[in-house]
Order: sequence, then C-alpha cells, then structure tokens
Amino acid sequence: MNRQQLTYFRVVALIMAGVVATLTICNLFTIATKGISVDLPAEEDIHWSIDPVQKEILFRTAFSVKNQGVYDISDIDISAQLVKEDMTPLFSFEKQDMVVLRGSNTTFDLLIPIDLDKISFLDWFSLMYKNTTLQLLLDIDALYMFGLIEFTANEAIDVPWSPPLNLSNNTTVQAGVKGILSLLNIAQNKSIATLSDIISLFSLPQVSYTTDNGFAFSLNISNYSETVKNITCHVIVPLLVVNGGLEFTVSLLVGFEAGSPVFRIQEVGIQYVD
Amino acid sequence: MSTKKRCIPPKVWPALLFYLIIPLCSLLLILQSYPELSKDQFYMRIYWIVPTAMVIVFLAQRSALYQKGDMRRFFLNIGFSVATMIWMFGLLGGGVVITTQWNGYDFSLHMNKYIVLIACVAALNVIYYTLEWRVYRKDIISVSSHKEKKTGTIIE
Repeated sequence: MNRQQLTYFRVVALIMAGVVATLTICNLFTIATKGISVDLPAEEDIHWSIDPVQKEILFRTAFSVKNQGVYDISDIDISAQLVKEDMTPLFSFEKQDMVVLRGSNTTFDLLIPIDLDKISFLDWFSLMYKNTTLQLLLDIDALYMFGLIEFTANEAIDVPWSPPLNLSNNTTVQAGVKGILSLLNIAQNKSIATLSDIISLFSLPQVSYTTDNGFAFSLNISNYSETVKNITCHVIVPLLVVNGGLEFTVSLLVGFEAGSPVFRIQEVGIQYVD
Repeated sequence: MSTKKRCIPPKVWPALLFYLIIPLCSLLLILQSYPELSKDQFYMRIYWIVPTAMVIVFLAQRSALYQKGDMRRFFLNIGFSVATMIWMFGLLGGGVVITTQWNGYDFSLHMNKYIVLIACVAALNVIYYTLEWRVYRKDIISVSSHKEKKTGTIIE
C-alpha cells in the first residue's frame, strides 16, 4: 500500500468514526428526549363488545407510535395474548410488518376477535359467568436505523372483566351455576376433587327458574345408577342488544364407580336461538 | 509562543470538541430541557464520558509528538481507538441494552448490532494505524541506518 492509498484509507476511517459518533449523539438525543415513543393502551383504553350472532367477543384498543427521529421505524411486530388469572391463554393475536415513517405519529388500531367456538367450553362458560381480571400480554418488537437498533417491550395490562350476560341475581341460580362450573373444572381435570366437592355436588339443588325477560335456568338431577347421578343444566340467556338469546346445555355424570370418583361430561352445547 | 503551538497539535482540538465539549453540552442540554428524565442515567454517562474524553485528548496530544512509523505513536493511536470505543460505549449508557420508560411502560433498546458497528469502525481505525506504522516505519529505519552510517564515517 502506498502513501496515497493510505491517505484515502485514513479519510474513510475518519469519516466512518465521525458518522458513528454523530449518530450515537443524535440517537441518544432523539431517544432520550422522547422523539421516539410508544403509547401503549392503559386499562381504560381496552374496550370489548360481544357479537352473539358471530359468537365473537371483540376487543378494541389502539397503540400509537411517535417517530420524530431521522429513520423510519420498520418491522413493527405485535403479539398479544389474553390470559386468565391462572395464566391459561384464551387467545393469541399477531400483527406484523407495520411501519412508522420518520416525522410521523401513527396510531394502530387493534381489533382482536375471540371466536367463542374456538376457545374451550370451560373458558367460554367462565367468561360468561365470572367476574375476573384478564391480562393482555403484549410483546412488541421494532427495528430502527436499518435494523441496528431493536426496540422491545413486554408488558402485561390488566383487563377487568365483568360477564357480558347477566345470568341472574338469584342466589340459588348463582349457586347452581357455581356448582356447574366446579363440575366442569373437575371434569376437565382442572382441579382435584375432594370429598367435600363430591358431597357438595350431590347436594346441588334442583332448580327451575324463569323470569319475564326470558331468562331460564334449570338444574335437574336424576339417578344414572345407584352411585352415579346425572346432572343436567339448561340455561337460556336473553340478549339485550338483539332479539333472541343464547341457549346453553350441559349434562354431566357425577358419582362413584368401582370405588373411584366419576366426573364425565356427556353433552355440552351452546347455540343462538331466536 | 511557538513552543506552546508545538505542545498542542491540531489533532487535539477536534478531539476535544468532538469527544468532550459537544457530547457534554448535549447531555447537559437534555438534562436542562427534560427535567422529568432520570438524572442518574445522565450523570452516569457524564462520569463515563469526561474521563474517557480526557484520555482520548491526552492520547491524541501524545501521539502527535511522535512521527509516523514510530512504535510509540502506533501504540498511542491504538489506545486512542480503544478509548473512543469505550467513550461511545459509555455514551450509550455502558451496556448493550438501554431501558427507557414510555407512558409508564418499560421499553428496551437493544444496541447489539450498533455496538458491532462501533467495533468495526474501531477495527478499521486500528487497521489504518497498523498500515501507517508499517508504511512509515521504513522511513525511520532508513533515517536511523543513514545516521548509523554517518556516525560510522565520523568515527573512522
């Protein structure tokens, strides 16, 4: 290498060092002064509605990205998961390859449908019946400066959940529904049956309850065998926003067989009725 | 007057400006303009930057005292490159991940690739200084052999 080439090399090396140092200062300034920022939804920004015909619960929320930097923010991937209190996932959602151009503020609307046919029956029943706090687990990734800088965020946002359908204020009905839910939990091996569980299930009341607005709840208990009982629950819940209602039927076998407890779902059905 | 000029070579001024004054002013400006930001993080950056920038300026000044091809200048230049890398690393917060809060949520900025870029640029500078040393070393060798010859003739 001759001296002329060395001079050119020197110029390139100096320029590169200068560019990188300038970028470091500019990026630090941009990021530190919130020239780039992301507004994630708070609890109160997450709304949901139920579509009984489509059998969907639709979650609506939005997050916005402010990019006053000199580069586009690209490859924004968002992955959301709604989980129950016990961290059981209800659904997963992904949206990929979003871009926020430099000098712009962009809001991304998230419409997250939960298809009630696709979640487990127990989850469905739990959502319809129980007050609970769900968690929206958000995982956001984005690239900045040609992929040299990667943004990541992992957040858990509480989503207070109250059942969309008011089953009934009647305490007997609520006790019956609670008993059914316990049964389903045990039948799906979600909890371990204890002697008190079995006794409490055997002591479930027979209920037949209807109201003027069309709500109906019935719990029938019949002998399947000497030691096994057949519990059938039938619920019709009128919908306030549209005509019709949701009809829910579940039939379970509860008892003892050959010295061991039996919890078996015989039939489960949910349907929309006019 | 002329002695002073020789002691502070021109390489020192851009180093002082670029590695100390500009970043220090930027950091103080951010601190002043955005009091809601975590002061500790910025103070930590200042603690990194000021000593490393002083080292950079010192190395720039010292290396300029020796001519190209001199082994001491070569090592001082390598030290200069390493110090600039440490300086940049300090300016980024001393790690490959910066955590910032937006709207009450924690966001992480992963700078791994950026650090690799900084390392590449530092390597480029190290290569330059190595080549410079190799190319200009011949001058020093020829000058010293010429001196030896001259001394030998005088003795004879």
